[in-house]
Amino acid sequence: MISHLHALFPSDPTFIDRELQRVAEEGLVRKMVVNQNAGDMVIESKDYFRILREMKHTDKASNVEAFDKFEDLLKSKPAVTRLAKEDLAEAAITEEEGIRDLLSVGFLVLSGMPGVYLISIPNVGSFLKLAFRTRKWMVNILAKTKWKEMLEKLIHERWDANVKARWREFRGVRFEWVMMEVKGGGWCEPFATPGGRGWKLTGKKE
Amino acid sequence: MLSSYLFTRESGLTNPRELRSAQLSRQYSTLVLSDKRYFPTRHSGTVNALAVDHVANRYMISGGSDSRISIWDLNSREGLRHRYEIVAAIPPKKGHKYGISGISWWPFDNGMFITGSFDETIKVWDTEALEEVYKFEMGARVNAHDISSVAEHSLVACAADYTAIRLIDLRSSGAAQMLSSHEGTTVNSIKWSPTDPFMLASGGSDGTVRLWDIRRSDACLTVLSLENTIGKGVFGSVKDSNLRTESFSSTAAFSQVKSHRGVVNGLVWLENGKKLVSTGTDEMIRVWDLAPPFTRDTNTLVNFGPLVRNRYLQCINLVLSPVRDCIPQLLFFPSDTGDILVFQVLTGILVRRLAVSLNTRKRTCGLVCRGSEYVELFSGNSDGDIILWEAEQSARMPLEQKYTANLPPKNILTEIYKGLEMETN
Repeated sequence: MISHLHALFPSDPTFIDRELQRVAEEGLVRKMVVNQNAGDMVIESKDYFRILREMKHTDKASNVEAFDKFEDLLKSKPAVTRLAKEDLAEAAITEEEGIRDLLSVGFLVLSGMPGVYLISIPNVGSFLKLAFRTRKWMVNILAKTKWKEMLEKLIHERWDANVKARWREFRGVRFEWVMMEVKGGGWCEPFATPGGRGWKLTGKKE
Repeated sequence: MLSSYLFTRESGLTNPRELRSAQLSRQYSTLVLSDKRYFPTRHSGTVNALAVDHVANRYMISGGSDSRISIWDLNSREGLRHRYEIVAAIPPKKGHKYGISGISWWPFDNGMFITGSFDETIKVWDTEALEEVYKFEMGARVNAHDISSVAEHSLVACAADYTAIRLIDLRSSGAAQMLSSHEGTTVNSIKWSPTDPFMLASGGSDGTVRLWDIRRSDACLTVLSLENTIGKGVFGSVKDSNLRTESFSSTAAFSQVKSHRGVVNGLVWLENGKKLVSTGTDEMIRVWDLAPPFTRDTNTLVNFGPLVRNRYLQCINLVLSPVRDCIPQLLFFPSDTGDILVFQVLTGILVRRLAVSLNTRKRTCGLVCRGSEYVELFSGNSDGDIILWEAEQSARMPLEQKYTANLPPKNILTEIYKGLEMETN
């Protein structure tokens, strides 16, 4: 998620936005905006096309050429995050043949607007859900305190307990990932205390 | 560092203005709550609007949600107490029935000022007599209004809870034009261009910032699209049906173009008229490059960081530091959490957070810079207080004084005496 990138470079968020735009236009990276409330996602193009090629040969895809055409279309429009029906038709991906397959496998997603599809990746829902739930967990923990802040050590302990309790959801998620997401997205702010780092809520609502 | 400026100024190597802007920039970077000067509390509600007159930068009008209007003399001193005095006041309910959303001075002299209010009217007042000269019924709550400071036409543009923007002509005291193109239910912010007398920018609940040229019949020039970033562009005007872009090709998709993923409730132009700063309830501030001709209005992708809080629909007063005083130019943003965030406009870097109090309920609504020559920022908050932010004491000391302050004090007579003593010995 872009929020992780913003957490890595806290002093210059403009740099990240501009670099991402530049790198996307060069075709090295693919930006995806599947849910505007959830935030932007970024994936290296080589990984994206590798997944596209792997998924081509699953049972759901009856039309392998459509995937090739989709790959060409994406490579011709490197910085685009959504496609209209007309754009897909230009690349000879029609409703019956290509679009339905791409939708069912997960590389296209319906948007609120008719005739416009969002570029995505399979199982994007579970990734976004994970990001949402971890972030919500941390915000709730801080919201319960009187001053909406807590020492990092304490939150880390609670996170470990949480992973054990809700292991089906959270197993494998490192606490650093949660911290980065919450800082980069602007939900929490770190500050220094004599007892280590502390985190407090910024007041950002859903 | 600044002492080297003194030397170069004396030797004529640099422009004296550079020293001035270096010193003023330093003062702006040390803004703190003033401990000496204060405003007695007058307003009982939020202070929504503050405006400093353009002629002398001396008088400030404050208008609040209690519908009270007060005019303050910024040069006033009362003995040792440095309390600002009210020059004139219009008591609550007498001027407007409901709260005031915006106030602007007549740009060319102090004789008139214009107030817009949630009671659906815009009133023009005579400052001397403190009487209303004109009243315009807008038929909808006025969210914001603006009058151009470069134009010869005296048109007041009014953004209300209505899809179209109404222009009122003060000379004929009647409605002049209606600009419709916004698709949402309200227009929340509006600002005239500081360089072009016929150009206007507006932001509405449809999430778009629209640019207008009032001379054209289909006045809307363009919609600023957040997806037009540096490198690409949406070409053509809104009415161009042969629109072809790299992002989407159908006009149906184009009509979904947005500048913000929320209501656009704050706008400010940079003084050169080439850039526009907008903010919306998606909690983002965007800087737009408006290069001529209007085929490439780009989102410059300046990111102001995650601390921007903007959730309420009320018009946000974005304020820029005076252009030649502070380099790099600063943007003052009143965040919902109660802080005023100070950013460098063109890079988005957070320079300072001006916190009114630890109690975060006190949101800042009205905001205004006193003007060039003064490093003073006035903010009005939701408790009805008006606050002065000024440079820190040490930064305010005149530079020459500081330069010589560290040298040991010289007493000429003792030195001559000592010199004579040494000679005789």
